[in-house]
Amino acid sequence: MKKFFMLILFVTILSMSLYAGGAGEKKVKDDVSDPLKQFSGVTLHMIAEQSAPTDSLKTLLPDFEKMTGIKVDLETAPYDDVVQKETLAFASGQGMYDVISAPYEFLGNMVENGYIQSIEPFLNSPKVGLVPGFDKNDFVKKLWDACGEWKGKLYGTPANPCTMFFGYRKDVFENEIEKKNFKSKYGYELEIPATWKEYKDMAEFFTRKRGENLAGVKLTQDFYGVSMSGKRHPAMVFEWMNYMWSFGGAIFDEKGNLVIDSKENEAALSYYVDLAKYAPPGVTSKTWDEQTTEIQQGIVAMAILFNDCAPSIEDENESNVAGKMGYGQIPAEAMPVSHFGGWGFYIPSDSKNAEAAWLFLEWYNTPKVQSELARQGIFPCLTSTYNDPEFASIPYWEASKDAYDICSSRPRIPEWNNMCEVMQLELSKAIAKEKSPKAALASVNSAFIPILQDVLPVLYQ
Amino acid sequence: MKTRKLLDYRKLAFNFHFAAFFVLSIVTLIPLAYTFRLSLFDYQLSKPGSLNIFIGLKNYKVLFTDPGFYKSLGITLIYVISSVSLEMVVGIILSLILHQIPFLRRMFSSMILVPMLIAPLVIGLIFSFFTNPQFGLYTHLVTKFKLPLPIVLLDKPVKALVTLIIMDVWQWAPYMTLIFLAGLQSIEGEYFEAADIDGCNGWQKFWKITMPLLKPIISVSVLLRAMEALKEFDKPYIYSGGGPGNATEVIDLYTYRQAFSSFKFSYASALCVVLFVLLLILGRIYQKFMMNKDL
Repeated sequence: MKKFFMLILFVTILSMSLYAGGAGEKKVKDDVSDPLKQFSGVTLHMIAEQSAPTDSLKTLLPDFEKMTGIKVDLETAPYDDVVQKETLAFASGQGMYDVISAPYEFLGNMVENGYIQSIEPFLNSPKVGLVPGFDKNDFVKKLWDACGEWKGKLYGTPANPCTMFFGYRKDVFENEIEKKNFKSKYGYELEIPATWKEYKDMAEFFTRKRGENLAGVKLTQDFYGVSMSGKRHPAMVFEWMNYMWSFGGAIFDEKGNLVIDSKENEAALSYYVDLAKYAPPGVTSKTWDEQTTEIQQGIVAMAILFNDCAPSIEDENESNVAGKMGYGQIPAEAMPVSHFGGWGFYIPSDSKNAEAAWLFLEWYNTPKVQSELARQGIFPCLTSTYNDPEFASIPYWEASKDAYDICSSRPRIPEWNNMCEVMQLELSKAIAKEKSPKAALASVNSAFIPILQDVLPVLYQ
Repeated sequence: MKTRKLLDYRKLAFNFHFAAFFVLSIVTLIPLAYTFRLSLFDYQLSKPGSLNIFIGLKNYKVLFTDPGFYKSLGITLIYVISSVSLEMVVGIILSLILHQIPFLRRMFSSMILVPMLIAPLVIGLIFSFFTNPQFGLYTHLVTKFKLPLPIVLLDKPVKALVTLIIMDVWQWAPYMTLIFLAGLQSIEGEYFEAADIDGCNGWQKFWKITMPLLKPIISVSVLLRAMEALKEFDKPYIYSGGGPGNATEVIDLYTYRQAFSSFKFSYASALCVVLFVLLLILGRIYQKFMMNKDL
């Protein structure tokens, strides 16, 4: 019996050694003369959000593998879980990932904690541009700055850029009966709203009950002026920040002091809370997902939304309003606004395959890959792709380009996640009418002070 | 000879216990000790180098003055007391019905297991579709039959909390029903025959025989459910996200947010330790019930 067990043990050890030997053999480069194949056999471990851009990326990965011989093991997780998984991986320091995708507002946190490495050594290396077509000057600068630059140094490249703009039902806005009725009621033309007063007028004008007419057709269900994201979720904070900036408010003033409870912010929040009466019921349970569904169902006239929701709104298989939508910019009063919401690709400091990871980042940012992503409804990161005439006829393309020109970033300091959490709670209370806008912002201010006590004034964000 | 045998038994017992203790240490005691240790530091992932900042019991001091902690603890207690009480009442009623009607018992005893078999996260999702104000079946039924019920359930704190309680009752009342049904089936028929001879009516039989005999089972089930409900996380996380405001932010969700949204790992560890102590107290009460020889 003992001999039998010894034999089993011997066979197991032998097969494991053979397997290990085999695996090692696999790492031998296929063709040392081809620099693109220098990391052939390496497996890159990557994590990204479970989303349409990631699904599109998956379809292109075989091309990367064919070109470089590098395999990409792509793990996906829902929005809320990606950062948590990454943070835990960083804390463990085990080199679990070689490439991570993260919302850009975590950049400061990741850099200050030493979780990610600078990409400048790769960019300044003679090997840069190894992947045919990669050109570091082709990035849309504003996107790259927001996603990759921290205190003058580059740490990543943009990925899945998206920004907020204005979407509206072009068919009803351009309907002659509606135009006439609107003008007779409000005294000015029905066009894309340029001010918040006009925005609210239009929201009120289009909010109608079942049985009333819309563009000459009897409504079979209630119709609403706006769609909003009011759930205790980052979606609500991001949406409201457009109002905040446009009303002339801010989180920090130019001297870096906290001004979250300013008069402008209070006006912006009061307006936002009041506007909710023109939205479909249950604003407090909506995020960008439900907002997209409401638009797709054709039950709202307009919304301030992320431009990466537009491809599914324009998809005839998913949406009742495909081809009926128009896109423009958010009302600009104190300043033109568009809340930038992209992600970035970063290489963790503990990555065991940093050079191969950089090769992946180069490949991802080539015009060929970016154009293919754009064909699948994903927003690219390169100027050349935005200017490609192939995409000029996409309904939301021009409005998106204009929105990127004026977009603003949320703070990227390490404390932001904590701050965002506080804002979600207090703004949610204001929308649920548990607190007045003034009291909610006062609570945000009180909660921010201990969070920011060591970093005020915030002069770099 | 006898002593040697006893020693052998002791050795054997030690070996058996050692294996269990070893596994338990790895999966429970070590993480618990680590959590307690972490709660004595100021580890925040947003603060570089904070892993080694020892602050003693400061996190506990902050915790006991944190209004967020008390609010979430209060919400958790309301949630636990309401949902477990309702589950108990529904469980008793259903078990009595099923006990009285064998045909129904055969038909429903496997069917009522279904809610228990569904993952809580999926239940949260099912309810969010079911009660969606635009396309939910609930909304459709309320509108069609003009029922005196609200269409939007997540706009006001009370409605949101009540919906979560109903969700929990839907999931766990069947568990109570099955346990009570087993209890009812174990009660000797002689008690009821004697009561019949004494001229007791149904109501008297229920309060004087059924309930006293079911009491130990009810107590244990309620305690076990309460311990489970205290750890509720999935359903409020997916259904309401703790909102509106923090109306449905139970203690586990609050702890999760402190750890994974605010990245205050040490503070979250302190919260975990406090919750652990609460559960330990309940566990002791449960143990006392189990040890009680009268039961």
